[in-house]
Amino acid sequence: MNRTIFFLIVIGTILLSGCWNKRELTDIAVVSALAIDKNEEGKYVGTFQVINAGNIASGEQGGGGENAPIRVFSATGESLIQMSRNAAAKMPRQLFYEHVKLLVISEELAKNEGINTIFDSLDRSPNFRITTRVVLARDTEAANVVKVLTAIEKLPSEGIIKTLKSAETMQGETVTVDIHAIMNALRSPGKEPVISAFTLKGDEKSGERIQSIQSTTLDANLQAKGIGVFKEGKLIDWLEDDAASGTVWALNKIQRTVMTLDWENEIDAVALEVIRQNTGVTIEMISGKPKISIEIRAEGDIREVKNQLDLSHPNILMNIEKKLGKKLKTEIEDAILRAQENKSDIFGFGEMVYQDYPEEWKKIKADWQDVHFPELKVDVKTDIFVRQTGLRNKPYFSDFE
Amino acid sequence: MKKRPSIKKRRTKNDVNSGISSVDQSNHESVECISSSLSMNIESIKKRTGHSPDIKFRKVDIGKNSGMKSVIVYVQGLVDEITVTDFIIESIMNSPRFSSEIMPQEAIGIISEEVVSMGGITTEEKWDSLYLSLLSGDTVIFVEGSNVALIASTQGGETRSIQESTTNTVVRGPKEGFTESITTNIAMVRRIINNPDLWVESMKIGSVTNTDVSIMYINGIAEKKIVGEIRSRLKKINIDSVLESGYIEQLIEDGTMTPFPTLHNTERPDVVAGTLLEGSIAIFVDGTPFVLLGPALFIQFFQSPEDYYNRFFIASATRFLRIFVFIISLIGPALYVAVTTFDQSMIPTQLLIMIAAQRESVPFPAIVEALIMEVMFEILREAGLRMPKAIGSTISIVGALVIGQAAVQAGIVSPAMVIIVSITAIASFATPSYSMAISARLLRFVFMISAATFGTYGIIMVFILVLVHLCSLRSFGVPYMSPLAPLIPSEVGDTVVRRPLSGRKARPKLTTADNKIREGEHQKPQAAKDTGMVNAFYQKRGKRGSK
Repeated sequence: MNRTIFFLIVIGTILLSGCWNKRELTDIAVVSALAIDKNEEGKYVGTFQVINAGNIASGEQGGGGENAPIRVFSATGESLIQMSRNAAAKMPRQLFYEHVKLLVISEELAKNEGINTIFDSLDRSPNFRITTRVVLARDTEAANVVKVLTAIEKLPSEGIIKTLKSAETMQGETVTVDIHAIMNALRSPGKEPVISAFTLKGDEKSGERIQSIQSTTLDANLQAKGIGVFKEGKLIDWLEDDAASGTVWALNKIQRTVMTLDWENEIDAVALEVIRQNTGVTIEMISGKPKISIEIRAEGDIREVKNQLDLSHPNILMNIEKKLGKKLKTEIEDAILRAQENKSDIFGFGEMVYQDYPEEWKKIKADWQDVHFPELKVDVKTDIFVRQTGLRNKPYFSDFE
Repeated sequence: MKKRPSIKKRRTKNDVNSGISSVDQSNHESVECISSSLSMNIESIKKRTGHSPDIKFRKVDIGKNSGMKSVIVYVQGLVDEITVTDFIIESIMNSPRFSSEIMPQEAIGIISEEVVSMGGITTEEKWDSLYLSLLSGDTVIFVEGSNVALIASTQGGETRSIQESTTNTVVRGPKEGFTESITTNIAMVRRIINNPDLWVESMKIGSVTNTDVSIMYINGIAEKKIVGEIRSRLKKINIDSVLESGYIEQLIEDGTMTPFPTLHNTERPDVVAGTLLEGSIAIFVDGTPFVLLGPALFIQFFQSPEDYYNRFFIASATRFLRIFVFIISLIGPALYVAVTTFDQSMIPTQLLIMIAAQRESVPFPAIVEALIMEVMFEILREAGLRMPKAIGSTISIVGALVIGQAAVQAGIVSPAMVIIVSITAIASFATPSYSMAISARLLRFVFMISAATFGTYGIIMVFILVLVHLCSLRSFGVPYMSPLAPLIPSEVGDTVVRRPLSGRKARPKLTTADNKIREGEHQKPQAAKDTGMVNAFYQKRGKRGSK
């Protein structure tokens, strides 16, 4: 008898309890990107890029391509959570943050207020994934970055992330960072975060229209542009070109990049495609002061030669290797110098000191960024190795004379 | 536990209603033994069988001129009529052995020993057993003046010939399957296990049908206690009829409140032989090609005879696949429902958008959609089984169109759901055992409902419940989940994977008696060390090369 009653109670709780946390797919609005600006009143302006599922997947229902794949709307609030509540009032469906791929922070916000408060909110939220990628909006409002439609990738947020990734691997002047990495850097006294930036080229208004991606050239185009350097949660500097590239080298995040070399009055005469590289950082303590040595070993193929170089000659190859090494060395040293001037240890040297010499670190921890890091001695060694010269040795035009 | 007696009660009531047992009773009391008068015997049989025309009486004079009369009784269709005419009627009629001096009692002896040249011949005095023999196809010979009858075994008549089994088909391995005749079936296993230790015990079960039931085991391998348990459970059965081995299965299993089968059944003699060698006991029931095997373990339902005929890599891979597929058929739709209504964050964004786009126009929640499709599929499957073959194609076309095309185009279900239901349906047919597959079919709905209420958490909850239930099951006292729970490390090699035959040294510990060793030492195949087997030319070259 007792068992029957127990059984009924169990059945009852299962059948009568209703559906906890149940959300049908037709009840949620999947947010794919979120942009955060600040308006004149000092309120946060959130711009939500919501996926219009019916217009993305061209399934049985047809559609697909006729309407915009995303719907963008914005809401303001004193805090992020307030902003999210206000946004809910504008949507027929529940906002769903688990699939946010991209977080865009405006340059103004990052410069003036810093990103600490934003990241506290994101860190607390059970909905936000810490793998969400973060970019800065440069020379434009963050909202514009999420409003623009991209070609090829139907989902603009996906497009931005893929652009960022391909720029990182093929160009080596951007870094892909997610909330997790930024949180780690913000928390640690021995490291400061870097965030890549995107800018909008062209007419931002027409970029929002579906017509803009129906032509072969885009009216508005998003483009990766530089790396933002932070100090104490505030944006203080932009790194571009060689400075950016040197930073990415020192961060050991280079995957496949191209290094060029001037040769006998010809600019960028030799191009080397780096296929693998390794950056090793070692720390020594010399009379209580850390000394960093960076050792880079890179390996690559020569992919372009403008001069009549006989690459079958080992001396020439060794010469190229040496010169490339020297060039890389100055590039990295400049990048480190720039960071030291900024008093922002974006390379995480402090963290390495902490790991290797925890006792000494305690003493220098407090004023690492302002006193010790700028005075840090960094020794850079490079070793470039040419693995192949492509499919030929001499350029084919060397026989023409 | 409450169920069983009630079934029994109902059956006995039926007995009384049908009136068979009342007649039975009256006869029992009045005339138990055969009379010495021919006409009385004939009359008695006719009365008892209600003048059924298929019971044939053939009056035969014994010998050419002895003056003695006899009657040969047999059931048309059950006997081999050629045997009856050639070896009984003709030999009795033409035998020169009889003269008028011979007494009827002596005549019986002479007929059985000197006249009828047949294998099985016995004497019988009691009506009860005489009827059993007569109705199972034996021929009864009455002699005027003798109160003993002769019974010649002439069982024959039309039966289905041995054909390829339809339920457990294999690519490699014997093709023959059991038939409806119990003697043929037993012989088929005997042909595989050629050993005097293969023992068979027979009994009749069913107060009305008197069905032949035999248990078969290998003496020395089968655990005596389990044999005894099965025997006593069979003896305990008191039921009017046994129409299929399913009757026996349901009456002797360890517990009825489980969706899982605790007795294995097969149509293949090689499966019976293989299982007997692991200490199981086979139960043959006349009239069905399905032979029961017990004790049955959970993992046995995923074993196909082919696993042992193929090399172990392939066998292990397919075994693994089958278990994986069984899990799909259990939780496939449930997982879809849970993930799309509770844990959308688990799906990759692109896939989520695809599914969301498809569901955009579907008016039902995911669970309702899943239930509609599952029920629709069950209807199609059941209808496909029952309907006449001639209109089968019609139904399959209509079904395919309704489920696949129209339902999607009408926006009632999403294409993703159709994919899920079809993969689940196909998965459920990959389980080698039909009885295990249908239990998964039932549990699938439990999983779906719990998934709709609690999401993936609900699936895990029910999964754990099912697992606990499985671990609590016993088949004739043997833990159902063994050798996994309780864990018997030496036998795990024949569960999710099947290790090479050369590593299969012992029989399962829990089900076997004394004879535990399966193979001798050094059974692992090894390459020949010398090249003496290859041709001389190669050998010469090899030698020269070594110099």
